[in-house]
Amino acid sequence: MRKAFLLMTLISILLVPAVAQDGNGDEELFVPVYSLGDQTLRINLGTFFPLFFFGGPDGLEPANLTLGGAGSLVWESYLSTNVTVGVEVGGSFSFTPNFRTLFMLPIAVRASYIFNFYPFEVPVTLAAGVNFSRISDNSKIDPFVKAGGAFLWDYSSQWAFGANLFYWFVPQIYSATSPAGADATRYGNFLEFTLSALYHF
Amino acid sequence: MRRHIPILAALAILVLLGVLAGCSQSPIGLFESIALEREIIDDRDLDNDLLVGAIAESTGGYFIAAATLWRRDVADPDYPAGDVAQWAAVASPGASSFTTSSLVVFDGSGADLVYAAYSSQNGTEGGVYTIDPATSPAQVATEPVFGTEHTDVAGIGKVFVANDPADTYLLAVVKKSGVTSRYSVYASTTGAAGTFAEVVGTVGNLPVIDVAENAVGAVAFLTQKSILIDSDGLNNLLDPVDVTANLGIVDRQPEFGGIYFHPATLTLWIADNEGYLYHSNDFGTTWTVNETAYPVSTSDEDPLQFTDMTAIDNGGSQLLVVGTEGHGYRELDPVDFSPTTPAAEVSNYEASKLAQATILTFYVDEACTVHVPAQSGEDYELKTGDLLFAGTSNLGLWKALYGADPPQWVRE
Repeated sequence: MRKAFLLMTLISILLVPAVAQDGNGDEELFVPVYSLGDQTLRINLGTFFPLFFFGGPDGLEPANLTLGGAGSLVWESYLSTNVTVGVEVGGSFSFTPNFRTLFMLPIAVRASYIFNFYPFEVPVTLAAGVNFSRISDNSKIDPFVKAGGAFLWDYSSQWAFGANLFYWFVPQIYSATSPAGADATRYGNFLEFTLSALYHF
Repeated sequence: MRRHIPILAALAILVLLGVLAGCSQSPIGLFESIALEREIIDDRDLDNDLLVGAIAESTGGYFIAAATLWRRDVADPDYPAGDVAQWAAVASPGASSFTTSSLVVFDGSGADLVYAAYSSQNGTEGGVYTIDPATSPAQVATEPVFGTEHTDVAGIGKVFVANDPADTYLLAVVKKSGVTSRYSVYASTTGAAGTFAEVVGTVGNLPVIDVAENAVGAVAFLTQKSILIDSDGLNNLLDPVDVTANLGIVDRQPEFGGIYFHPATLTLWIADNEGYLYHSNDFGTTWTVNETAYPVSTSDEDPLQFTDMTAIDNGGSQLLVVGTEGHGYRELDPVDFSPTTPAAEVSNYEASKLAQATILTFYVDEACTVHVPAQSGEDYELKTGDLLFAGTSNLGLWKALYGADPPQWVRE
């Protein structure tokens, strides 16, 4: 009984946007347009795919990390209908073969160009900033670049939902005079696939 | 556009921070350590919570003193595909309640024998017992060659082997009878019953915990609080001299953990429990010490409590490995005294429980050819190098091959 109730509740929630849109079928289709000064907040949660490292003596190396998790909070502001700039704070975790946990916390500024195909929008984004890595008792701060895009469905003029696919590039550079030495340099490559909820205000 | 100037400024600052942060002083390559990490293998049946106080090798077998004495074959031809050589317990002598945490291999009569120091639970009974690794490697002799049956001996501590210009000695640390908290060292050149005699000048308030010797036969005895040096060998003209004051310790009262003579650099090393390492190029007259205590890590400023130490050939370069209480071990360049790139930290060491262990003893089996976890994939490969064993206080026995590749620790 409880399962049936939950199922009906879920179906009701999913049908709300359809009913809401069909109910105004006689009205002219409203296409939200955002402009300078409009802002968004977005939360992303999903899966983190460590890909590979390069830069060491063996060339390309498997990242040697398990599938992990990733998430981020993003604030963006519109410069025009199609261009936004903003800031994001993210995080990811994944595990080594002996279950040490690699945490990475990037803070980045980002710029996006948005392709609109109402009721969908496809922002293409480039972000750059710093990444705080930590594993065991060791930590390091590195440059951070992230590029990718999202596919969002405009549920309403305020809310949009969708998914993101982003490539993370973390160059972890050590100088010859550092305790770890220059041969410790590795360039980390990762992939983030997250689901997204976006709020316009 | 003007309202976004702060955002663009933030962008520039963040990118600048990223570039600057790329030069931060992390002691280890994080991604590098991940790329090189291999799964820790527990390849034998030895209990993982053993206290391993001593390790030795003789006549094709490894012996460890871990309360019970254990033995396994050195040769392991089928490893890793077939049956690996497993450890076998060797029954304790006496009333079977005797335990051991110290053993050595000593040739006093033309053939190697393993000498293990056994004690009863309350320490009032004990002795040095032999195992013949050639003929009866799984049996301890029923009678000790030396022990508490001696009128002046109330308890048996560690056993060592030392050379002086005249001879090679089996040494046994004893608690003296008839007096409270007095200890000394007995020695024998043959290891046979009835041949042990007290080494002149070694009586003190604390037992000797470690011994070192140089190439010309000067012998150093270390207790937790002092270092005695017998510069002309045992029981000769000169008695051991307490050179602790030469270390120059001011306003500290450390306890020493280990002493080691590094033959490649002719340097004598001592470690203490307050994060200090001392080295002497003249066997104890003058010393050099680090100016500040070595901390646990960059994020934990507690001093490292050093224990035992030894040296190992790491693919052509010498490394001094120093055990700690609760924080695994560290590697030091034995020549210039500074921490080196820690080869162990780019392997699976950081991920192992060894990194949190108290290390009681090291043993190096030189020029071994053994299977080790491969750098690529999960296979094994045959490699040659120095096999370093580490005995811990409650986390069993570990081993790693030091050679051209970063060592990958394997649990016995």
